[in-house]
Amino acid sequence: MGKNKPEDTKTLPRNDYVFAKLDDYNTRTHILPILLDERKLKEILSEHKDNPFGMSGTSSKETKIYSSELSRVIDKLRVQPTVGKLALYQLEAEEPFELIELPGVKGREVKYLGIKFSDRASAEHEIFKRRLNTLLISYGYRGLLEEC
Amino acid sequence: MLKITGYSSSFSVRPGDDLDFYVHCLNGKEYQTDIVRLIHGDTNPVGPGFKEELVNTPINGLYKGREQKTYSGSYAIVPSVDYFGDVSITIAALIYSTTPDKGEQGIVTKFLQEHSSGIGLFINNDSESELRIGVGNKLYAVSSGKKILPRVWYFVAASFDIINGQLSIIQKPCITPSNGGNGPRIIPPDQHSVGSRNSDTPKNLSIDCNAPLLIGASTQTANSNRKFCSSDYVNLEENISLPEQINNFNGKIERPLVSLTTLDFNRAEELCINSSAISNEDFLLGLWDFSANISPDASSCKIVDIGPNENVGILVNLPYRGVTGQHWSDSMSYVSSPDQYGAIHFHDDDIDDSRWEVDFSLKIPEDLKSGCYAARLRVSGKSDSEHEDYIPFFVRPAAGAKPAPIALIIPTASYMAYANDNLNMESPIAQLITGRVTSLQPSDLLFNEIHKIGYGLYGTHNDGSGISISTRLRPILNMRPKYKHFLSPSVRQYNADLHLVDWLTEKGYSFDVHTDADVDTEGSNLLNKYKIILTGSHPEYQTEKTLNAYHDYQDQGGRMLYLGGNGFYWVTNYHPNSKNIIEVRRGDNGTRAWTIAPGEYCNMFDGKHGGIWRVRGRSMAKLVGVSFTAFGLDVCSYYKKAPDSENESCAWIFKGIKEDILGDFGLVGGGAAGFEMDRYDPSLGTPENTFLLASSEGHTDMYMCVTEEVSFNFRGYYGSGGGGDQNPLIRADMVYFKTPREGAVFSVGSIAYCGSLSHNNYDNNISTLTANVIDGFLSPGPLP
Repeated sequence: MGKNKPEDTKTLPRNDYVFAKLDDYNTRTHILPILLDERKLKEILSEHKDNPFGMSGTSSKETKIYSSELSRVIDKLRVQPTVGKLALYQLEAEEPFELIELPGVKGREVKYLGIKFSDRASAEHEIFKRRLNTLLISYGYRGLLEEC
Repeated sequence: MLKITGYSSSFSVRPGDDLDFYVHCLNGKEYQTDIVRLIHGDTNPVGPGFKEELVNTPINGLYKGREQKTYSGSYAIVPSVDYFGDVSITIAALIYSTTPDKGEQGIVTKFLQEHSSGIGLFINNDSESELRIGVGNKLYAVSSGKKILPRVWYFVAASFDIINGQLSIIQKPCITPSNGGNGPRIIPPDQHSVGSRNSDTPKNLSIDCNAPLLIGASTQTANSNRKFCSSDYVNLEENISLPEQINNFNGKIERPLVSLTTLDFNRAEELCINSSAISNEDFLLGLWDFSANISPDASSCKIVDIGPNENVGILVNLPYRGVTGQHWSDSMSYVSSPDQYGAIHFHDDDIDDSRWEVDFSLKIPEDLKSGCYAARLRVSGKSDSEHEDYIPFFVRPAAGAKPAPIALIIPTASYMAYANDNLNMESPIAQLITGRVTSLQPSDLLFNEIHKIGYGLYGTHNDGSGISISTRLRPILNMRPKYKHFLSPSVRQYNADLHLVDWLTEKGYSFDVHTDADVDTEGSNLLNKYKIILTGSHPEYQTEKTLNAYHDYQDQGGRMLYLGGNGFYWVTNYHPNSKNIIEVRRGDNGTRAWTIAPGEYCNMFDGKHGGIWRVRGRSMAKLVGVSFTAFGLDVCSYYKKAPDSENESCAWIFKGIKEDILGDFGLVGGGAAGFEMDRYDPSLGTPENTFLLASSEGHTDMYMCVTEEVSFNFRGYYGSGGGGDQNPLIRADMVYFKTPREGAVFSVGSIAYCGSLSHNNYDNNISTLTANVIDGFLSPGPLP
């Protein structure tokens, strides 16, 4: 006899469950080892700070692409659900960028976090660090970024 | 948040035309209107900056603002039915709900919500079908007792017996192996049985109300002060007053009927499912056969009542026709098998027209030169991005005026396709695709607030199905000067096309503008007036008529510069009676925002196969020598000259250019090559006589190959696994070829190209190269 009641045997609602379960496996297997390695963590933080948006080549310099470690980490951070996802708000072309949270639901208001950046690169890197920190905390690792 | 916005009655006007403007202004504040000519819309401080010229017109001045409502959500209204009478009633239909858990949804109703009066067949808050009768202070209802499952066809019938005071309902799944599309074939056994119930009401209840008979919604208030006008895209004998509708249904409805008797449910099922012949004993008020007028196309807004009363219905907000019905088995075309496509798919966010009130009208001055214009709206005298909006329009040369040597075709169909995508706020993969954090602007917040004005073709409906119809009769908030588009490192579409307008203006070229819709209407007769045709940066959405016009122009010796990327790509149709509405059925091939539902490949507006032109044998490479190959949205790169650049037939193009590297600068991602890119490929129709002038390199690994090039996924190199650092298909090719009768085509294969024209005060190798081509194309006689 199984432990589940008959009404618990529907499978379709478990789509999200198995997606999250596999994502968790992948994170533990392929991402956390990068972040828990102090040297690698420092390297990807430094790499992102120097190049927050990617950099194509010109006649005088070659194209710069992210290391495989940074690519793997940043793809994970960027694909979060939209509820509460960090984003920016800019009033005018040369005005500061303000940190906001997306509502994730049509028609609901964005949440202003009261933190502003004079340039987009600084804002991009700050969000990268915040997302990293949130991810680490969700796996029980606090304070790792402060040590870098 | 932006406090004002609006739209105009047309994109395209000529001197002497009248153009209406519709404005929504928060809190009813006063606003200033000025007509301006737009030259450069990119506010990037590295570039030339924003450029506009004030145009003095009689309508410039202060206006009292007002807020305007939008009633999105599609339904059918049957204007000729205003009274049921005190009789017994049966309502039946086939339904396929896509959001049964959404809450109350009207299937067939004559029910006034604000007074709780009338009768209607609904889906209730428990996801069950329900017959409801309201007599003001009292509601009577009977529901099926069984939940409706999503994407499953049901026969639903309900009756009200006025003499015996009884309500009855039946809800019965009717699934075939294919008719649910991607819905299930097997449903839980307890849901498979028939739900049937009875309930009592007082005898001889009088249930009539002044709500109209609706299919796919119910009535909140009987009169919204909006009309479906006979001047709109459907021929009507008189204007139809529209209600403020509520409880919009998501999903498909087929063969709804209303009988003025307690029709036996078996008989109702025969009429709905078996298409049984109608008898006088059925006492039908109406039986609407949605398959009756969907050939040769399904664009009609009228629905046919095949009963004796011929109560024609009108579809409001353009629900989708030519969609699979309960009888669908295997056909891929509603034109050849209309009986399998007897359903209409209603969405609670469909929109054909905002139907706002006119706020001011402009008679286009007779001496206004052809170009890009806008009504500039400013609230409280402020010019910041929370208080200022622009309503763009395009002025063509006066009829009969001598044409300029050059015509710029403004890709307005593409602007309509990308309208109000809102993916930066709603899509979890937006930041992954763009490679950066989303940055919102005040107009993005306004769209979030008034999202009922509707989305464009990159969004999905509230029920998850793809949006295939887009109207321009509503504000398009991402088609504005100054707007930075999230699907770009900076600007995109309209604002990026102003880069070219600015360069042509600065260089002193005389040019006229026309829109995609003008080319669709006038064909090569319009194009043939010009020595040179220029495209915009992203002329992606093309109709069969516009493709034919460009082909004919080329065959007759026209010279054409394709100054963009991913052009001539999607099969697009205007509504047969309106250039304000387009349709694109995405198909299941091509780099697409969503995939078409099974069996629904044929366009509602022309009955032909939708998708990308390539699957209809009209690859863009046949027209412009290059084919869409890759895209990436982080940063752009440069071109490097190819050996053909030194061919004696091509050397004139590079006159004065010593560098091998072209365009390693620019306002779009920092380079001329990138964003969305096309490549030379004879296997896709690139002419054999094509010269490959230059090709890009140095793209990041954010650039990936387009899906139509991928038949298998694997890591590295070709296919989807190799990025710009690895896959040689990821590049922009610049090509040139001659066409019959001394014609020629020059293509750059990159959306970002025009963003480099203004670099270094317009003195750069992209500017020189473009000027060389235009000057060479303008020269009389054969090309070298």
